[in-house]
Amino acid sequence: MRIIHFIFILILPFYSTAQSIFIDRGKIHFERRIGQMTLMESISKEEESVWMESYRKSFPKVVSDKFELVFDARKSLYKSGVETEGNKYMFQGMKPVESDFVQQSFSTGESVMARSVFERNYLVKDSLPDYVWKISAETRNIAGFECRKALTRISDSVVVVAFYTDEITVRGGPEQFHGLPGMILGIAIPRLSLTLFATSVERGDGEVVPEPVLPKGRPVRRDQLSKELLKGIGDWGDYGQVVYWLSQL
Amino acid sequence: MRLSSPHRFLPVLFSLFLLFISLNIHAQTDRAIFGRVRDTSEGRLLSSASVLLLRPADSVLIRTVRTSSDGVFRMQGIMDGTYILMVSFPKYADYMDTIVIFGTDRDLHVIPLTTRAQLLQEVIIRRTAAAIRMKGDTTEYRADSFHVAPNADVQELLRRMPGIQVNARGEITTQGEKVTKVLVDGEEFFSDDPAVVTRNLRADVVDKVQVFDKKSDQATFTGIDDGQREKTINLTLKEDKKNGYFGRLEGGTDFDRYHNGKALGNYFKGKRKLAGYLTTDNSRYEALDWNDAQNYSDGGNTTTTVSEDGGVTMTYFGNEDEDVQAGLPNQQTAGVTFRQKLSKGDVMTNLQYQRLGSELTGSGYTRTLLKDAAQISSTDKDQVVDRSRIKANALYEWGTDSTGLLKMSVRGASTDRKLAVKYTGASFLENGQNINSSSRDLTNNETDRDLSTVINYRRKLEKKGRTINWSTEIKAGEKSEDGSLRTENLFIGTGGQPNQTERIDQRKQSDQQLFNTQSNFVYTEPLGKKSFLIMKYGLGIARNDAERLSFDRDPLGAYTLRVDTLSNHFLFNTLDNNGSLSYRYVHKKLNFAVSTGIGKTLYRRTDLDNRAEGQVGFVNFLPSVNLAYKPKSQRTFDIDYAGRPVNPTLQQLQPIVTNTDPLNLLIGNPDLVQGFTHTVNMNVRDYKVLKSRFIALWGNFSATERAITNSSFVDGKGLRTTKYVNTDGNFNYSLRAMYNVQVFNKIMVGAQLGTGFSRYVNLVNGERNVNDNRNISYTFESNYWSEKWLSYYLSFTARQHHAVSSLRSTLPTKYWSYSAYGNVSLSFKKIKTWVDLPLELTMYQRTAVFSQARNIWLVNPSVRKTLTKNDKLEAKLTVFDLLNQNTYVNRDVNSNFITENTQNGIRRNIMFSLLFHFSRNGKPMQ
Repeated sequence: MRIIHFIFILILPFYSTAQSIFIDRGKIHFERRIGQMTLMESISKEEESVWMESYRKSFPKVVSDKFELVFDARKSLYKSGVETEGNKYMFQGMKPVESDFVQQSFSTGESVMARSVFERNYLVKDSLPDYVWKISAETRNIAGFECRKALTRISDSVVVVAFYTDEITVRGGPEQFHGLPGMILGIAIPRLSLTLFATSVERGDGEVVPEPVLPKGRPVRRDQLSKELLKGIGDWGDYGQVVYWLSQL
Repeated sequence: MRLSSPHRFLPVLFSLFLLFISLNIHAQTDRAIFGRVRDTSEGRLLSSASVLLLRPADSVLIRTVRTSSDGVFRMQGIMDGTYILMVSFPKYADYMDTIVIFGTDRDLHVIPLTTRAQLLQEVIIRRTAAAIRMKGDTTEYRADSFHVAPNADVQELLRRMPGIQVNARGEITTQGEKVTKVLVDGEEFFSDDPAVVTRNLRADVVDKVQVFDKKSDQATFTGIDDGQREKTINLTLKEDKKNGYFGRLEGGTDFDRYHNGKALGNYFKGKRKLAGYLTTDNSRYEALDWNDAQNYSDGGNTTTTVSEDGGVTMTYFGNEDEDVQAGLPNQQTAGVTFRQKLSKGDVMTNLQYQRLGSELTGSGYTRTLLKDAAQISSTDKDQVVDRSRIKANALYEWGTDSTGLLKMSVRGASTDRKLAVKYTGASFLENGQNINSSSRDLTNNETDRDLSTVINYRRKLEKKGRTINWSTEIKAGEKSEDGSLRTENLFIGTGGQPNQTERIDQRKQSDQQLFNTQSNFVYTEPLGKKSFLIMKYGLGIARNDAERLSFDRDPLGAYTLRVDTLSNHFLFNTLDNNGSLSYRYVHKKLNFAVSTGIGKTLYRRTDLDNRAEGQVGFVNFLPSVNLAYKPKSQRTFDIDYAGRPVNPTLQQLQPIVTNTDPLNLLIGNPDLVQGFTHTVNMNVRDYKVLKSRFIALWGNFSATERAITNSSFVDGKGLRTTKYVNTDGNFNYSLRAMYNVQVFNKIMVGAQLGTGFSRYVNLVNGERNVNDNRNISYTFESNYWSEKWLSYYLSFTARQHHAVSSLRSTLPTKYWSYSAYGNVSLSFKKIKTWVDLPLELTMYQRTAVFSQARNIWLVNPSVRKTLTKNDKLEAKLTVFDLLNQNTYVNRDVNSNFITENTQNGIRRNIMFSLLFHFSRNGKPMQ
C-alpha cells in the first residue's frame, strides 16, 4: 500500500555508461587530509600567540596521507598506503603507522585492529563497533561514484559525516566505519578538520583480501583501549582530546 | 523540489492513530517486511537495490538489506511501529514511503523505481532570478545595505538578502541550491554545518557577502577539475573589527624605599601593531618578563625549534643583565615597537631605552694553595654602576622557504657606562700572619657604539632536499674608555712591620675601532632519497684598531706622563677561512652524519707605535660524527663526537701586562700553540606517555690536548703573576640519570642522580699541579598541576663536593651543598584571589676552609585579588624575602684556588601594588 510518495532529486548527473554493475570486491585508495592548522587554532585560546605564529611558520596547513582498503564480500583490510614524504604533523597520532591496520569481518561481525598510540602497540579484537547512522537526502560524487550522506557520532560527541555508495554492495568503510547500505567512500569530521575521501576504486576480480601481519601488541578490547588512553592523556586538555579522538577513528 | 500525492493528511492521521495504539501494548519484535523492487518503465526487477528502514523522527537507519537477483527483499525481526522505507538504486530516483507495522508481517508487494532521466522530463525546474547583479561568477552583497538589529548574527543578515533563504535549521539555500560551505575571509571554518558559522558570527563585523561556486577541494588540490561545484558563501570581515588595544598600568610601593611603576600598551589595526612600554623599578632587575616582552616589545631574543613530532620549544634570552641578581638596582626602561605583517612577509622596527643603576657590596675569600703552603686573602668590594643604553633594530622578512625567504636586520646600540669600584683587601699566611693589605679605586667611563646588519637568504629548491642558505653579518663598532686607577699596596715583613709600599695613580684611556664581517654559505644536495651531502663555506674578516694608554701624574698633578710599558697601539687583522663537507643519512629510525671541516685562521698584529709586525696562523681541523637512533616514538638514543681546535685569543697571545689589579698581574704569551678538544656526548631518553614515565640518561666526556691554562707565580708578599700556558692531561666527564613518574592522581615525582669529574692541570710556581674535582648530586622533584585550587612544584638537590690538588694531596676540600626551589599556588576562584608561595633555598656546609655555613631561605609569598566585576582592577601584596636573609653566595674550587664570594641583594620588603588592565577587541596572550 502506497501512502506517501516523496521523490528527492538532488543532483542530476548524466552518465555515459547507462548500466550499473555492482561491485563486491576490489581496492579503494583513500586520501586523508587534516587541516591541522585550523585544528590547532580551534583548540588554542589565543589566535595571535607566538606559538601559533611559530606553528604557522614551521608546519604545513594541511597534511595529506594515503590509505588503502582492500575488500570482498566477507572482509576488508584498511591500512596506510604509500608514505607521503616531508609531512610534519602537529599532533601525536596523525602520522600513519605502517604496522597499523583495521580488519573488518562481515561474515563473523568481528574486527581486528592494530593501533600504535604513543609508546604502546595495541591489538584490539572485538565485535564490529555499533554506529547509529542518520541517513540524509544529500548526495555527492566521490571518485566517480554517487554517494549518499549519513551522519553518526563517535566518542559520544564528535560528529562524523560519511558518504556511501549503493554501487559497492560491501557494507564496510575506512578505519572502523561500516554499517551503511553500501561502501563508505568519504568521511568528514568537522571537529578534527579531517576528511578521508576515496580517490580511486579498483574493481577486483578474484583476488583475496590479504591476512594482515599481526604486530606485537597488547591484546585489548575496544573499551579497554579507550580507558587506558584516557588515563594517560585525559588531563592534557584540548590537545589530549584531539589525540584521543584521532585514536578512536 | 518535491512531488506529493494528493491524499496527504489522511495517512498521517491514520499512522498517528496506530502509533497511539502501539504505545499501549507490548512492542512486538518478530515482524517481517518483504516485497520486490521493479523498474517502472521496463518492468525489470532490480537486484542489489538498497532497502533501508529509517526511524521517522530522526531518519536513523534501523535496518538495511539488498534485493536478491529476482528483486526480492525481506527484513526479519522488526518491531511494531512506524517507519520510513527508502529504496535506492543507482541512477534511479529514491523511493520513500512511510509504513506502519502493526500486529502482522507486511508484504509491500511491488515497489516501483523511476529513472531520473525519465523524471526530469516531468519536472519543471524553477529558477529564482537573483535580485542582485552578478559580477563574473560571484554575487556580491554589501552587508551595510541590509539593516539588521544590533547584536544580530550573520544568519539574520543572510535572511534579509534577496536570493538567499535560511530555514529554521539554519540551512542556507541560494539560487535554488543548498550552500555547503561558508568561508570567513576566504578561510574554511571546517564546520560541516554552515549554521555553526553563521550563528557564531555577529552581523556587524561582516563587510561583504559573496556567493559563488567553489571547485571541490580535490580539484583545487590536484589541479584536475572534476567538474564538481559547491555553492559557497564567503564572508569578508570589516577591517576595523580587527582593531583594538590592550594594556596594563601598574604601580607598587612599600611606602618606604622600594617602588615600581609600569605602563604597557599594545594597539593593533588590521595587520599593523604598535606596542610600547615604560617602566621604573628599584625592587628587581627584570623590567619585562617573558609575557610582557612578547606582548609589548619585540619579544626579546626568542628562538624557536620544532621537533619532528610537532613539539615546539621556545628559548628566550633576556637582556644580559637580567642574570644579575645581586646588588640594589634602580632601573628605568622605555620602548616602542611597530610591526606590520605583509601578505608575504613581516616588517618590524623597535626602539628601546634602558637606564640601569646598581649598587653592590660584596666580599670574597680566597685560599691559594701552594707547594706545602697556602695563602689566604680576603677582599671587600663596593661598586656603583650607572649605565644607559639606546637600542634600535629593524627587521624585514619576505617570502617563504620554497620561493626563497629573505631576512634582513639592522641593529644599532649606544651604551654609556660609568663604573666606580673600591676594593680593600688583605692576605695572610696559613699561620695567620698578615703579608699584605691593599686598597684599590677604579673608575671607568665607557662609551660603546655599534651597528650591525645581517642578511640571510634561504631557499628550498625544486628537487626535494636541495637547499641553499646564505648569510652575511657585517658589524662595525667603536668603544672608548676613560678611567683612573689608584692603588695602595702595603707589604708586611716577617716582623709584622710594613717594609714596602706600592702606589699607583694612573689615568687609563683606551680607544678601539672594530669591524668584522662573517659570511656563510651552505648547500645541501640529496644523493638519492635517504642521503644528503652538505657543503659549507665560511669567510670571516675582522679588524680591530686598539690603542691603550696609561698616564702617571706629573709634578703638577696632571696625568701627562705616558707609561710606555702599559701603553700600546695595535692593529689586529684576523682572516678566517673554513670549509666543510658532511654526509647525512636519514632513514626512518636512523639519522647518521659524518662531517669533516678544514680551515685556517690567520692573525696579523701590527704594532703601530714601534712599527713592528707579527703574524701567526692556525690550521683548523673539525671532524664530527653524529648518530641518532629512534627505535620507537618517544624513545631516542643519540651519540655525537666532535673535535675542535682551541685557538688562543689575541689577548692570550699579547705579551702585554694588564695592571688593573696590581696584586694579580696577567700576562699574555706569544708562544701559545693551538689546543684540540675531543668531545663525546650521548643521551638516551624514553618517555612513556600513557604511563606518564620519563627516563633519561646523559653522559659526556671531553678531553683537551695542549689546553690553554695558566702558570702562576705567587711570591711571599702575596703578589701573583699569571701567564697563559699550554698544558696536557685536562679532561672532564659527567653522567646523569633521571627518572620521572606519575604516582597517582597527576602527582609527578622524579629523582636524578649525577656525578661529574674534572681534571685541570696548571703550573704553580713552576711546578705542575693537578686539580681533581669530583661531585655527586642527588635530586628529588615533584609537581602537581590542577586547574582547581592547588598546584605545586618542588625540586631539591644535595651535592657532595670533593676537590683535591696535587700540591696538597693530603688536604682535600670536602663539603655538601644543598639547593631547593619550589612554588605552591592556591587559587580561590570564587573570591577571585590567588596566593603564591615561592621558595628558594641555598645551603653550603661549613668546612675547615669555610668557617661559616651559609643557609639562605628566600621566601617570597604573594596574594593577588581582582577587585572589580570585569577583573580590570587588581590588587597585589608581595612580600620579598620574608625571613630577611637574602644574600648571594657562590663557592668554587678552581685550580689551586678555593673561593667563596658573597654579595648583597634586596632584603625584606612588603610591596603593595595596584594593576589596571584595559582592552578593546583584544587581550594579551599568556
